[in-house]
Amino acid sequence: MSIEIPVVSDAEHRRCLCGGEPMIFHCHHYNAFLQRTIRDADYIDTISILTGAGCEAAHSQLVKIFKEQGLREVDARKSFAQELYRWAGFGTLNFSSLTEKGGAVKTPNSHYSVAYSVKSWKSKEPVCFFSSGWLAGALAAIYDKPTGAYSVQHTKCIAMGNPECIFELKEGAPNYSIYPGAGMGPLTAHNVRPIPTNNVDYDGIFKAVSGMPLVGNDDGYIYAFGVYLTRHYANYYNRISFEFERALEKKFGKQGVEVAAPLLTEAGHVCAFNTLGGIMVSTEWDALIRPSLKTKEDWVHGIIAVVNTLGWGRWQVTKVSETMAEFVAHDDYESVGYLAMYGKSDHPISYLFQGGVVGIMDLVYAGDIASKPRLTQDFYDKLFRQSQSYVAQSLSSRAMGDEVTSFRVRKV
Amino acid sequence: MTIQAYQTYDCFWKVRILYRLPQPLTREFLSLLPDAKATVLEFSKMVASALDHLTLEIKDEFYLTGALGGRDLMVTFGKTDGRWPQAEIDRFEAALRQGGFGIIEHHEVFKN
Repeated sequence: MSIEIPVVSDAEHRRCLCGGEPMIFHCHHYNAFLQRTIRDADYIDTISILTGAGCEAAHSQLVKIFKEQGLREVDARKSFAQELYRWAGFGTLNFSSLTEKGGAVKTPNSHYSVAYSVKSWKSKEPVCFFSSGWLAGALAAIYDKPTGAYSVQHTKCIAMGNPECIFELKEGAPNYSIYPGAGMGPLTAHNVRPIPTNNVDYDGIFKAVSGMPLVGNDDGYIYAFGVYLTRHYANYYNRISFEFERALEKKFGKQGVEVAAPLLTEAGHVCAFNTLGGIMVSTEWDALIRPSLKTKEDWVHGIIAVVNTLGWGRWQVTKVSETMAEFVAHDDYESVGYLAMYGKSDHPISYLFQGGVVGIMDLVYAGDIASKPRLTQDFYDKLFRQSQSYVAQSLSSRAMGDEVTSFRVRKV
Repeated sequence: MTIQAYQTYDCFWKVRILYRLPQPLTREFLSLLPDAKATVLEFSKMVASALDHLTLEIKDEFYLTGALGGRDLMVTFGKTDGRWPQAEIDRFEAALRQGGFGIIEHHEVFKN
């Protein structure tokens, strides 16, 4: 029996939903970098955050899907959970050895550990915190238990040089933070802004990329645009980023926020460089978008058109030249998630958006992405660390109560 | 006629070679690799100036992408086991030569 993943496209808000969870594309570079950034703060309990956020996402989603699809049998639920995990590009899991009491799961395919390995990041600890939490949340949902019904130990990890990852689950008190589930979050009616004349077919690109078969292969990996993608949970990224920031604020006061913000923004640069840069040097770009591009400004419009298919909300570039650009995001996933999780913010929190738009300007104008440079660590360092070509200034923040989130990016 | 081949690695350290063809890629190319699973995304039906996009794959052997009408073939070979996939490259390049694109000129090895 084939299992169909119930994906719902909310094109009006440029979002994609599965079991009430907003799903967004990010690549292994961003996933690994963001996690390592958070783990580097060894003076706070980040494992509890990372694992708890994975549990939250899986439990919220699967409880809803099992109910909506009328899945009552344990075996059917296990099969669905396995398929969902593979489909999303997280790797593979086999639930057959798990019972209501818990059990062990082994896998040779795990997105986070492989991401660390291929980046040659040696790890002395297991790194699949998301998968650990996801398993605990999924098992609780399968057996109709509340979130946090299982503890989980990640005893072996590919990132440590082992041939497979092993997770051990046990019924009982959780060894991670419990979060209530943020769901879809509060959305707005998009008051679409006028944009400069350009040669990009936004609607055609949205239709074409949205229709691409971007799902996990047999090993649970999504290979596209030259990178390995995941159809991840917006609420996972939001939870780990904002809990990280809040933990730093709790420990260091406002200085904690000042420390967290540039770290999370750099994760946005990493995303722009690898995911968006990878897209712009891909053969898919050559086929779909490049033939229509006549100016550098078209390149900015082209990548914004693609971003609108990633589930990140509706992005627009309302002014663009080599010296300055303005970007507007309607219902950017960070703001929507923040509002759902914590209410109104007292400062801008759209770090991915901020790092992303600076990264786009850097790639197009400073990095000459049209010449297809190789996206190496050396090139990243040159573009984002050795010199600062562009800076962003916050103009408005949806998370702070504004209608949209927007940034002005200018050349230094 | 010469095919320029530039070797590098993909994100997962699989060997990746960019083949720059002397003439545009057409659908006839599919017949050179009849065992491969082919997917053509008909972008030209959705965006006026777009080209269609080809993916060809034999699991654990190679994964190819390219724009039909373009000259670049991006091919990733083998598995993530660290083994140099010479046999897979040889089989693929033999098929490529049958397509009448000319000889293959390999260029320097890049490292990520």
